[in-house]
Amino acid sequence: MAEKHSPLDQFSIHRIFGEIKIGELDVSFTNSSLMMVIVLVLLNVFLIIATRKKSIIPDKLQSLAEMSYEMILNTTKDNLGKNGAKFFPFVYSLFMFILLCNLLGLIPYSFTVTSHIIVTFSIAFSIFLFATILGFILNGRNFLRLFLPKGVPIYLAPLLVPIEIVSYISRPISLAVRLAANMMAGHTMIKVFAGFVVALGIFGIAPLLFIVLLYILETVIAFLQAYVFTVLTCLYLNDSFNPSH
Amino acid sequence: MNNQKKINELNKSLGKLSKSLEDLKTNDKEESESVGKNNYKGFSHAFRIVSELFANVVVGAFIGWGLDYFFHTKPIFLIIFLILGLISGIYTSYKSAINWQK
Repeated sequence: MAEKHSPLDQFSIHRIFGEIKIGELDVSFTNSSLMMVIVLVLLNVFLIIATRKKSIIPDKLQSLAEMSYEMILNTTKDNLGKNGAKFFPFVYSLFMFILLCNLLGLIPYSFTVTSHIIVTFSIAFSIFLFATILGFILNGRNFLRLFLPKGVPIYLAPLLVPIEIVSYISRPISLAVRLAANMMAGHTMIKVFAGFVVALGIFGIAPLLFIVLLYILETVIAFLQAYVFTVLTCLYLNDSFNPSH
Repeated sequence: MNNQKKINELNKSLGKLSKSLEDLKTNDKEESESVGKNNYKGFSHAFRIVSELFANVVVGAFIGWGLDYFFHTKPIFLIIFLILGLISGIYTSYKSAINWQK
């Protein structure tokens, strides 16, 4: 029973319909998968309902959908230029999925999908692989210019090339760690302070107020991290179009 | 003749109205944009720099450890790539800070 109240208990994964296996692979349907399905269903329902009326003067739902659409459209245009239109559907889906995962995770008794580093890392790593392959397809060998910017003297190359390679490989890791660590740290902190509320009795009002403030901060961070993730995705995709900075 | 005069007057006041509306709009836009930039873009950039600093060191250490594992040269590559990771972490976050200032 004591473990049930651990601040880290909210991140535990358990199977819902029992164990399902394909060969050696465990493909059981877990609470994490359930949350992702809920996010996808909610996202689709929201966008279908919001854009159904197509009125000139939008109601609340429609203007919400339009605002998110415009924001991501501007982001892709700013960072990707004329190539932005091709990637807009991908970037928009990515942003909305991460944003909804973050926000739904804030609801008590729900599960935060993005607090697990394996989830964020698999998203980030597939983007990284895609950007790298795209870069080689579009630029061929010229893509390697990314590791040695123009105008750098040749005697600096042995030092600069390993540095640039390390910095290139670190991209998916920094993407994944930032999102997962922010989500996990925030949720753990809220749970820890929630424990103080019970333990302090009447003086629990102070940590309770603090939790309210923390929730506001967490909502901002949920939004911000989704936005940073998409902006950096755009920047990395842009590098595959123009490798020579 | 009288009608023509009225129409001209109406057109003039319409022009004034649309102009003042336009002014209001641009003012609003500038204000909201600057507020958003100052508060949240800086915040998000701080997150970005911190995670870059961290991830580069981790990747450097991992590459070094991997090379040592394959060549059985225990600490040499780990040390070299850890230092390279530190340098590249500072270099990357420096570059992104410069980019942000532009």
